[in-house]
Amino acid sequence: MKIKVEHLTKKIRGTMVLEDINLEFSSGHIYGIVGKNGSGKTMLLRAIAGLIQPTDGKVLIDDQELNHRLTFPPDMGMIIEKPEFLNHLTGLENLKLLADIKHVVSVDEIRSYMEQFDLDPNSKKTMRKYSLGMKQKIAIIQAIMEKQQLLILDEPFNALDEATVEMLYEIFRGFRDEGRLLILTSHHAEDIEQLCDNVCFMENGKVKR
Amino acid sequence: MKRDCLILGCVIVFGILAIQGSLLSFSSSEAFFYMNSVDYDKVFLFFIIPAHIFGIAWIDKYILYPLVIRIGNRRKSMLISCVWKWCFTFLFLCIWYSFLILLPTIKFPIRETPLFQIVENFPRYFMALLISANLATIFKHSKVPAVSSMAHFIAVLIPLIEMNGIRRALTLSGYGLHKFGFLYSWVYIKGNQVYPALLVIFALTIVYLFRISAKRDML
Ligand SMILES: Nc1ncnc2c1ncn2[C@@H]1O[C@H](COP(=O)(O)OP(=O)(O)OP(=O)(O)O)[C@@H](O)[C@H]1O
Ligand SMILES: [Mg+2]
Repeated sequence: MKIKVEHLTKKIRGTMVLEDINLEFSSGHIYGIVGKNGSGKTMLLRAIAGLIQPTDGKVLIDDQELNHRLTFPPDMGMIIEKPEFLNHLTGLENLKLLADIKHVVSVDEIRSYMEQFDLDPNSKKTMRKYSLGMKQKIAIIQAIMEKQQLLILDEPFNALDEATVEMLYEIFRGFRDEGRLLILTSHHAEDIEQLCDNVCFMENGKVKR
Repeated sequence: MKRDCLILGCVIVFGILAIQGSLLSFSSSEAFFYMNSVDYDKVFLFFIIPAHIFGIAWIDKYILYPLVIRIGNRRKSMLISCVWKWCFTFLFLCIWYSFLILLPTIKFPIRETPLFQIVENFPRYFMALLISANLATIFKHSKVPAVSSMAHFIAVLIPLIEMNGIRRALTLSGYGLHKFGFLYSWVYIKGNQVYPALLVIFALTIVYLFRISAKRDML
């Protein structure tokens, strides 16, 4: 998979949040995006994921432009900012609801993912009572459970304990070696150093190499 | 969460008003009066619409980005959520109508119950609620954050303003509208021109929804 971002510009209600961004991503790599709060990292990921429409420029997925025909990159797993879930359902129910759309992952596989992340699949706890880190784990499971080839991860290590972060490093490196494409952001230099083979710096909506 | 509580609160308050209304009407001695009181626009405005919008808000809660990206297409996910809303609307009205038909049979002999009159209005209410569901969805997709976060509340307010404000004012000032309505007043106009009018409004809301759904930013 190859992603090309060409002259991407996004204005929201008159403010420039992304300005003339040109980037290329290809499979088998982990890309890191770093920058201060409000520099536009999340916006850039949203644009690549097709959640927002560029004001100018385009995003190409394997030479196909994201538009109203191809709204989202195919086979994409993503976490954007705070995880969004149905608070009145349990973690397993939330994941099952999502899995029911594509039917590529079985309930048993979801259960084993939850066990791998130290969550109890049989627990009756609803998401409302989950801790921040537990919610983040569910968000990560939903992003990877269907073996998606493209992973767009906005601060995936947020709120996670050290052991889980270490485990995720291993998992993500495994994905890279399988030839998947990962794009992530983080505020911790260590995450970026440990994982990413390409880093781009953002400032005020622009990419500074 | 706060918004849910607000809507729930409205439904409860309006529900109490409606129950009080129907109790009063139950004291009516003839089936004919019962009929008149359930078909009263206050029941529609203060009970049916808010309760229905509460259901719509519940369905809207499910439209989260992990779900939408799996469906893979904005228009498709919009259509799926609309179909859900329309099915809910149908079920909701069916339940409401079965109450309307069952309640009077407790008090009045069956043959006195004006069944036909009750059922006759079903398509009108159905169309009006479909329009209300679509309008709520349109507000939900608005680019203005205040509108989109208050979408369901605004959708309840609009028929209230139209029926209690504009229509009443026009009637009082002598321009009684007997043949034409705006959005919801069609429900209370006699005659068959009502159905094409409601259908046209419904079609317009769908066309508009499809146009905005393709371009919407999911922030
Ligand atoms: N929903 C929104 N509506 C309008 N502007 C927004 C919205 N979300 C973010 N912005 C603006 O877009 C710019 C970039 O924000 P973005 O969320 O991409 O920053 P970020 O680099 O992810 O920051 P952080 O490190 O805090 O996550 C900011 O100036 C912000 O004010
Ligand atoms: Mg961010």
